[in-house]
Amino acid sequence: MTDAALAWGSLLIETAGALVIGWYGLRALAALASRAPIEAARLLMIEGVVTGLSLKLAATLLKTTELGGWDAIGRFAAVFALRTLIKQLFVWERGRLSARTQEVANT
Amino acid sequence: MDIFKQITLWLASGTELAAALVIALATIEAVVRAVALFLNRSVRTPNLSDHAGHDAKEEVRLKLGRWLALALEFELAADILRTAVAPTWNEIGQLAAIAVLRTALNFFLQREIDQAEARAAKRVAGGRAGGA
Repeated sequence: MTDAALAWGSLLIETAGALVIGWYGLRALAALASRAPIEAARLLMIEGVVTGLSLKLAATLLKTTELGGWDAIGRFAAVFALRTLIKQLFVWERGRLSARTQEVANT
Repeated sequence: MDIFKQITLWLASGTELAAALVIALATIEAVVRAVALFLNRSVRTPNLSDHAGHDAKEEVRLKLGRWLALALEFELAADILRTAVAPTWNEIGQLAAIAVLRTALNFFLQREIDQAEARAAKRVAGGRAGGA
C-alpha cells in the first residue's frame, strides 16, 4: 500500500520535473524567436534543467523503497550520482554565464 | 502509469527536435555570413585590412560555437528526460558520455571566446597608443 503510494508519488514528481524542463525549453525558444541574445536562452535552459533535476532527484529518492537486487541498486546509485553531478555542473555554468553577461553589460 | 512515461518520452523528442532546429538554423546563418564575407572580400580587398577580415571570420566561427553550446544544452536536457524511463546501464553510460563531451566542448569554446576578446582588447589598446 505504502509502496504503491510512494511509486505513484515518485512518478508524479518525475513527470513534474520533465514538464518543467519542457516548459523552460519552450521559453528559451520563445526568447530566441524574439531576438534575445543566445546567452539569455542558455540561462533559461539552465534554469529549467536545474529546477527539473531538483524535482527528479526527489523522485529518485522516493524510489529507494522499491529497489530489489544489486543491479537495481547500482543503477539507482549511478542515476543519482549522474543527476547530482549534472546539476552541480549546470549551477557552476550558470554562475559563470551570468557573471560574464554582467561584465558585458558593465562595459 | 504508462501515460506519464509517454509524456516524458514525448517531451524528450520535442527537446531534441529543438536542438536540431537550433543547429540547422545556426549552420545556415554561419554559411550565409561566410559566403557574404567571401564575396565582400573579393570585391574590395584593398580596403579590408588583414585584422578586420580575420576578426569578421572569427566572429562567424564564435557565433556558430555559441549556438552549438545552446543546442548541447537542449540535447542534455533531452537525455536527462530519457533517463527517467527505466534507465538501462547503456542509457546511463550514454548520458554520462554526453555530459562529459558537452562540458569539454563548452570549456574550449569559452576559452576561445575569452582569447578572441583579449586579442581584440589588445588591438584596441594598441590602436589608441599608435594614434596618440
